[in-house]
Amino acid sequence: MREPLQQLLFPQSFASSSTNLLTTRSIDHPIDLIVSDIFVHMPIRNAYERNVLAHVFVPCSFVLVSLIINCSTCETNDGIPKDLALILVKTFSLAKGFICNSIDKLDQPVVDDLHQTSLSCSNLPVRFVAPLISEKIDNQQSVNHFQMKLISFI
Amino acid sequence: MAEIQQLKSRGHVVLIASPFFGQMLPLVDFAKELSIYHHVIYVASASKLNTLKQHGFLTEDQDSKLILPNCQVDFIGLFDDNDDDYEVSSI
Repeated sequence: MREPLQQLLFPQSFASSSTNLLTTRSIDHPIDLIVSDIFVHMPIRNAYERNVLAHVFVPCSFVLVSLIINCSTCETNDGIPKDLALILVKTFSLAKGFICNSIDKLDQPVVDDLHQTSLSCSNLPVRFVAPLISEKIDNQQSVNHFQMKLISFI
Repeated sequence: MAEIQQLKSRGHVVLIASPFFGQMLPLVDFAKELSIYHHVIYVASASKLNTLKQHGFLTEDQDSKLILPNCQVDFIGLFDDNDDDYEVSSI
């Protein structure tokens, strides 16, 4: 993904022997904010170097961030490889915050634990945006009705 | 409608997904919510966007551009050779 992303996001500084377009189309206006999946770290780094605002998107529970941080310090070979985990943790510190597809009341203890660490990303803001409900869940129920049921269940 | 267009002029946001559907789908839903307030571009592997289209999450407009129904989110595909269906292997 590296080359196509660089060509798309930062074409002025993209250097390649190939002049082929590596994307289905280009972006024709300045970017104000980049929100990148937690495992796609390169755009966060490039955005930091170019003073573009960037956030990390966590598609599930914020516990994933704790898992990555643990894997970066652990010598065992479980879960995420340590070298990848180290890169991701360093990338977190270059972002301006996290956007998490979870609910703050569920994950606040995990965020509090992160605040207790001495990592450079420990005080980054975490914005919880769940529940994100897709309309393609059940054709017989309205989205609003499902959302109300889910929220009352939680 | 004019008010929404004015709100959209506030910012251009690019969302970048990794080529795994468990990561892509929540970001699609986030793109829908965000597109109410900003101009949103969703970026993912081109082959994975096609699979989302095949499963009915995305459609094509009259210009063969991928769109989300009832939302104004632009989709850009990356030609990055992430064409395989990734399988979980036991450790």
